[in-house]
Amino acid sequence: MLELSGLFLGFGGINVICDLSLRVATGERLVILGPNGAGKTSLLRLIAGEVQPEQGNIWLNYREITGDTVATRARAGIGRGFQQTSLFTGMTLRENLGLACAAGGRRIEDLAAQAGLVDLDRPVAEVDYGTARRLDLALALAGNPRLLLLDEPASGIGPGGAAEIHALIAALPRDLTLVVIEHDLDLAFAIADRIAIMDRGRITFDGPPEAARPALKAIYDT
Amino acid sequence: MFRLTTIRAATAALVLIALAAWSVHGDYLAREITAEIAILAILVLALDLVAGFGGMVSLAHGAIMGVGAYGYALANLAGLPPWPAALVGIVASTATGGVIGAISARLTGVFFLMVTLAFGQMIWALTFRADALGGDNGLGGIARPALPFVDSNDPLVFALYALLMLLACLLLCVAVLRSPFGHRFQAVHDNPARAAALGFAPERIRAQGFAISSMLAGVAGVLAAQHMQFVSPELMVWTASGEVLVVLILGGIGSVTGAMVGAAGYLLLKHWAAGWTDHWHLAVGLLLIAVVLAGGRGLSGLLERRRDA
Amino acid sequence: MLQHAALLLLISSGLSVSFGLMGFVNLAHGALYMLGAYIGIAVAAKAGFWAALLIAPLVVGALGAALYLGLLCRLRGPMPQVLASFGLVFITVELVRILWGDVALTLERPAILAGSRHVLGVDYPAYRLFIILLGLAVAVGLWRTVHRSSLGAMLRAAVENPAMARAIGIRTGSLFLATFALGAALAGLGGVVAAPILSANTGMAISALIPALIVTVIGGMGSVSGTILGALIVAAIEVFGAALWPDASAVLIYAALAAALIWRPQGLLAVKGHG
Repeated sequence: MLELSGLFLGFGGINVICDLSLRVATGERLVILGPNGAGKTSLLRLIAGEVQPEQGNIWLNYREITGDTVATRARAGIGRGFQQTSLFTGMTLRENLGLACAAGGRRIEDLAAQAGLVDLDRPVAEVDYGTARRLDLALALAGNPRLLLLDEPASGIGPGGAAEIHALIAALPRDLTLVVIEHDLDLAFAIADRIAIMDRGRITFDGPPEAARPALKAIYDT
Repeated sequence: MFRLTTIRAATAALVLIALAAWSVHGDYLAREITAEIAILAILVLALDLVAGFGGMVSLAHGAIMGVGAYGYALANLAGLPPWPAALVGIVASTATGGVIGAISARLTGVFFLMVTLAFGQMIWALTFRADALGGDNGLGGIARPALPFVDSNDPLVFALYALLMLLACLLLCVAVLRSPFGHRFQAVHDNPARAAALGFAPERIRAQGFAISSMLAGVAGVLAAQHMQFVSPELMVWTASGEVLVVLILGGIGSVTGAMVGAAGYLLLKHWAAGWTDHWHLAVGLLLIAVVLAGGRGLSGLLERRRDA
Repeated sequence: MLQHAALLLLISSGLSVSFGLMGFVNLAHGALYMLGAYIGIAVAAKAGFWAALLIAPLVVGALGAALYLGLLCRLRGPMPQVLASFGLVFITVELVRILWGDVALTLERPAILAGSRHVLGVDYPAYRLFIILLGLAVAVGLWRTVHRSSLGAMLRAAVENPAMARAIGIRTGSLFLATFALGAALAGLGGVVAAPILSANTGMAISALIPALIVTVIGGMGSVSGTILGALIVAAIEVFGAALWPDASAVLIYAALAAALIWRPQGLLAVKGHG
């Protein structure tokens, strides 16, 4: 459903993404691992359309989306969660959900229930970070996406909160395709059908989770 | 995110009632000043809509208002009755703002400010040079609208008519901000990256917001042409837009009611100070800096501070 | 035209320094330029033109430094800076009106620069020659300061990441102060030099600002060679436009500004960030 071919992205003379190709099938749950600076977030930004590749093409459901704006891709079915929560901080939880649902057609109450959000009339500026995280995920889900991109969806919250977020992700419908960046290996293995490891702008491993363990040992133990 | 708090609604109602009462009981000057305040307040309201809620600080609003004023004047002088001519003026302003917005929407902050300055000055320079528009001398002999039962040439009637228009623009502004479009407009300002990820096209929404604001500026322009029965390029020069921005800042940006408080306070101060000093801009400069240093919430912010905390 | 370009360069170089290098949109730049002219005239009346040429920029530079320390360095973000400096325009104009009145003042050019000189086979007014040479001198001086010394690089570092700049030992506070004072002094210099040609009036505060903004933006902010290029472009549009197509020349300048803002790709887009 998602196909990337020969992507290059440079930044100040350095190749952040270097000749990267990747195919993700419908319903697959791909977790991307790799050291800091490997280009994981850049890859997500390329898929979401926040940056444009210097070379290469991106297809979503056999339709080329290279060059399309973020908004166009969002309407084509790409949902996006952010590494640092990206919310409308001047509004309440309900207003955030309302905006997202107006774009995507889901009901505010259903979405809030799915993401475990309560007391919706609180201003976003006043909620704890775990709630902000769940709202960020809810906003990504509001448009009924077919492809969900998540960038360390549980970063910055304690282990308990992280487990909740991951339970939430695990409970997503099976036909929703996931591309998730995750630092925490346990959490990564809890979600993944398939793991890709990135290093210096390239994919160095791509395969089933159990096969990834030796490759990961090499990266994380040294 | 705009909220019509009780204190805001009360402030708006109070200003409107006080001005109406003042023009009913006051003299000729009170009525003229009331009309002036109402017109300025509509223009400041238009600027607040884009600057306060969309982060698009424009220095073209004087010029956009001027387009409305000239549109009305030209249509009226060409033989169109006042009401259709007013429509011409408002449509001209909306279209002008729509074009400026569409071209400039990808710029933000001071770059947006400067590009609107450039567009405003282009309009001003064109008008200033065009013989068909009266050039430097402007155009005179413009009619006031025909109203049922009353004569709009009566200063009291015109003052109340202008206040009624202000009320209409105020309600329109609140309705826009509370509409789904208004929410998207504010969302794009609050968090452009997330708004795009939700599928909103930020540039189109910003351009549409600018066009709506320009429509309000057009209403102010038509009213100004009707009030003075004369238009000149002075309406359009960038310092006129700068003054509107100053009034908005003094009144309180991003509160809707700040526009009314600012316009009333500014013009009352101006007319009061004009009686005994030539240097009242000194006070305006000092006030402006004081407001910026205090966090930029203006007079209405001062009123709301206790409530908000 | 060269004379016009040189004068534009003198007026704009100060704004290019504060806006281009520090990202400070100083709407009071024209007011500082106006102050330069008035102070220059006052000093010249007592001590002659050459003393004014030296003292007025120093005084305006010192005023700029005082304004920066007392007010402007407290403001974060471009919008408060724009607004506060706009407030300063109001204040400066009124103070000048109170001190010097509303009548335009003139400054006699010094005897040595009266008359004309024979240059490259043509007679050229000596004062215009002087402006061109001074413009060149300022350009060279600025270029050396910004590019040869590490000032330019330090400033860019300090603007982009103040915390990091401080961590590597750049004293950002004094750096910004010096830069702003330099920009103000250059505005003051422009004012003194312009006074014998244009006469000093309170309209200068506004009328000088827009061309200076245009030159700075068209030329590319903070680049000395860009500012020279910008001054030449604007002067060419104004001088030739006024001769060839007078009705359009005023519009052309603003169209050039809008075009420079919209099509200049780097630095103007709001969306920043990287993976």
